[in-house]
Amino acid sequence: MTVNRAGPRSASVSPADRIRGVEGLDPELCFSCHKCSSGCPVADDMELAPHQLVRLVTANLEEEALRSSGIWLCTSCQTCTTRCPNGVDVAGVIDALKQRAAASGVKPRDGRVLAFYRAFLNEVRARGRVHEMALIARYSLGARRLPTDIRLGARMVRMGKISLARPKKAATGELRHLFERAKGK
Amino acid sequence: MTAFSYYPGCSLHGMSREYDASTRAVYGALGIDLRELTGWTCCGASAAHSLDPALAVALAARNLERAEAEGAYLVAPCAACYHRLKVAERGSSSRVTVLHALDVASSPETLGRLRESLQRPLNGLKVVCYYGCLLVRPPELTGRADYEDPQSMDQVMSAVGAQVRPWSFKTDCCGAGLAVARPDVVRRLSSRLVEMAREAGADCIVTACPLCQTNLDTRQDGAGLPVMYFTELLACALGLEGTESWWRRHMVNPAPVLAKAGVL
Repeated sequence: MTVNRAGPRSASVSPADRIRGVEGLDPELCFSCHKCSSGCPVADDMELAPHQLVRLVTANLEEEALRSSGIWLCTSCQTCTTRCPNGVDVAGVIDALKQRAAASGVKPRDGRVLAFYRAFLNEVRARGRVHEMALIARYSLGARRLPTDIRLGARMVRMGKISLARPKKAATGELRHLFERAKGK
Repeated sequence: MTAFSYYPGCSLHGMSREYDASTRAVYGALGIDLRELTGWTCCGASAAHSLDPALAVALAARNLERAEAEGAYLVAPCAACYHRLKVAERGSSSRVTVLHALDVASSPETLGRLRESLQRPLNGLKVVCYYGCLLVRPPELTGRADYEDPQSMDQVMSAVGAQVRPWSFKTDCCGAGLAVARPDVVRRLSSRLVEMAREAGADCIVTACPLCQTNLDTRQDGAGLPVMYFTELLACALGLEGTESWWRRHMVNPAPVLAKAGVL
C-alpha cells in the first residue's frame, strides 16, 4: 500500500489554521466515504462521528464540532488517519478541535475527559512525572466528582499497584519554563 | 553487550512496575544493557496533544534532547510514550532513533539469542498477541508495513515456543487513557477484546504497553483471562528468578494458567 501523507506538522501553527488545512491536515480532501467512522472504536458513543466532524470543519461550521462531547471520546487510536484513502489526518483534525475547544473555553456537554487532561498536565507541570494517586486526586477535585470505580481503585491500592507514596519530582523548574513558553505561543 | 538508552515512562515507575522489572531482567539476561535516561520527564501522553500543540511536541522533545548525549537509540516499553517520542523525533533534527522495546526483542539478533538462551519453552501455552494502536499506527510514523496484521510479537512468542493463535483484534483499541474519565467506554472496548481472545482459544493475552495491559486486566467480565507483558513470558522462558512477585500485581493472577501450561 502507498502511504501518501504530507510532511511533519509544525507546533507553531494555530489550531484554527491547522483545522483549515495547512501541513497535512487538509479536511477538504474528504469525499465522505465514512471509512474513518466505520473503523472508529467510539463512533457509536459520539453524537457526531469522525466523518461528520470533518464535514463540519470543511463547511466552516466547526463551532458545532467544538461543543460536541464526541471529540473528547476520541482515544487517538489513529485508525481513521491510517485508513483514510485521501490522506486526511482525521485524528489530527479531532486533536485540533479539542485544542481549540480547550483554548477558547467552550464547555463540552460532558466535561470529564477535558478535566482529566487538565489534571494530567497540571500533574506533569508540578512533578515532572505522573503519580497515579495524585493524578486521580487532581482529577476528582477538578471534575468535582469521585472516581467512578472507587472499589477497583481501592483494590489496586491494596495490591500496591497504585502507590500512595509520592515519587521524587523530576526537572520541575525546567518544565515550568517549558509550559510558560508553550503558553506564550 | 549492546547498550540502549531507556525511557521507562511514568507507568513503569508506577502502576506497571512489573513491566519495568521484567524488561530489565530479560534484556539484561540477553546481554542488552538498558541505561535509564537520567532526568527523564513525562512525554505528555494524550493530555498534551489533546490540549496544546506546542506542549504535545515539547514535552517529548525534551527527553529526546537529553538522549542525544547517551547514544543512537532510545528505547520505550510503553506504546503511548513511543508514539509521542516518535512524533518529536519526526519534527526534530535529532540523531536519536526511538525504538519500542518490542523492536529490540524482535530483531533477528535478539530472536537468535532468545532461541539460544531458552530454558523452558512455552510449548503448552496458547497466546494471542495484542499490539494495540500506537505501537503500529500511523504507519508513516512507526515505519511498519504490517500495521493491520503486525507480526513482531508473534515472532518473539513463537521463538520461545508459545502457540500463537490467530485472531483479528491485534490492533483494535482498548480505550487507552480514557480509563479514569470514561471507564464505561474502556470497559466496553476492553471486555470485548478479552472475549474475542477467549474465543480464539487463548490461555492469556500478551501485551506490550502498560495502558493496554491495565485496561484489559482490570476491565474484563466473566472468568478471568490473564493479561501478560511479553517480557514477563520471556522471563519465564529464560528461566529467570523472581517472577512470582510480578503475578501478585495482576488483577487476574496468571500463575494458575502458567502452571497448567507447564511454564512455571
